[in-house]
Amino acid sequence: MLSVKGLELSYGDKKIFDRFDLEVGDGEVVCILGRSGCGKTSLLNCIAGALAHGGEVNGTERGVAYLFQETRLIPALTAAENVRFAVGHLYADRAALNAEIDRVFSSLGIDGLQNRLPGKMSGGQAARVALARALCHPSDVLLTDEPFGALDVALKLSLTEYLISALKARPRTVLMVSHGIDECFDLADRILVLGGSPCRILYETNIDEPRGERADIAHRAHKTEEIKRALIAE
Amino acid sequence: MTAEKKKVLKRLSSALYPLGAAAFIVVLWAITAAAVGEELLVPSVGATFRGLWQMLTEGATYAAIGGTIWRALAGWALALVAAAVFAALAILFKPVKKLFAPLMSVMRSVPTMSVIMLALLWVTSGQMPLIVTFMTLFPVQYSAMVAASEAVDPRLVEMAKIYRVPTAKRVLKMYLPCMAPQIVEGVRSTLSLTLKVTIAAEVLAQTRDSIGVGMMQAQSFLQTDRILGWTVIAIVLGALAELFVTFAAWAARRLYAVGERA
Repeated sequence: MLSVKGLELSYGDKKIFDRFDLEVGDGEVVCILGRSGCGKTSLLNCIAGALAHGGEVNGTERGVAYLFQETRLIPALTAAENVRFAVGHLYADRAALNAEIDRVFSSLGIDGLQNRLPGKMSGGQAARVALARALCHPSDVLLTDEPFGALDVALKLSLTEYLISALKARPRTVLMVSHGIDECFDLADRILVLGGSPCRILYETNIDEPRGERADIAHRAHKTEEIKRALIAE
Repeated sequence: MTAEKKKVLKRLSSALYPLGAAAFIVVLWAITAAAVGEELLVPSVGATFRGLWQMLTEGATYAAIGGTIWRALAGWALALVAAAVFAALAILFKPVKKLFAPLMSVMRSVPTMSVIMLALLWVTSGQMPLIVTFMTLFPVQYSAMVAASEAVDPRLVEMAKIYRVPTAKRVLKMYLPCMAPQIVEGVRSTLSLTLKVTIAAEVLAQTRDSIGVGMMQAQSFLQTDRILGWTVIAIVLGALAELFVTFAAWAARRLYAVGERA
């Protein structure tokens, strides 16, 4: 289980988090909505260990896979080298790592791109390589920060589809910052709306139907209304 | 036309540009020499290359070339090593970088001539060009390296931190490859400067076995063709040095790439 207890974080005089708590169960997918600058990305960075903070974070002992808003690929390294750079030190066996890279690449439809440099890829290909990098991480914790935000709608849908099938094949504990309510309904087991200063949970709802069968659940419209109200009310 | 033929033609035409530039200079030179009509002021192309040929038969010429190459190379390499050490410290420790910044701008703005004059008082004429070359190049190379490190995307640095990538791997696979093109460019651009500074210092230091003294002697005997001959030699040396660095960078890239993909 991923847990955050008594999280404290300030930028100068401004308190972003003041004794903030959050728990994400094993294999649970939690989506976070909230206004820009409310602390969503900071929350992920605290959990990932990229920001110094007070309080406790547990469940990240094996590290975390992180899917960034941008691809963040090293331009001088090929696709496979980029994956090896980020997760190579977590595999004892290099052959196992290469096999995993090939498997993930082929399931993402980018087989054959292993030796290509990021500068020679399309935006969609680079996004898939970044996703492959996160999925090759042996940790079960995946943090994502509006990963497909900058892509076109078709690509975004296909990558979301892929993420759903990847989660079905191997359940992960996911904390996902999102800007799209629909995306949250497609992926999440639980949706949180964050806001306020310091940041707290303004609204919370569980989605019980299995992923992939949620296109026309009856209460979706009702919940969407509630989420919108929580977002606007702040 | 086949793609293969097109490629060959493209290669050929890209080789034509430098040849064209060289031809342009020679034509301009020949016209000027003919217009002035005085070998002492502007020697003709033929006279210059006859002088150069004559120089190349003398043992002293090679001693001078060897001496100058040695001093320029030593000054350049010392500056490179020192710049790498100081730049590494500055990149790793922010306060060090801030401390160095004013020192480097002072070093950059000190006129080469005052370094030469002071060095003349302190060291022998053999060492002086080396010291002057070092003093001139060190701040330039330092700045090139620090600027290259600033070109590494901080978002990549954050990615490496989140994925807990070991430090040695970060340096080898992220910092160095991202900085390499700029470092090579910075290093290459200082090569021609190196020769200029070394030769100027040799003239003033009266260094034995040096291109600088060769030029000075030619000047005092009014052998203008020999001054131009030395100039041609210096230009060729500069070009060879740049070619060498380009080749070394290419070889390093190949080696690096092979090691990585194996």
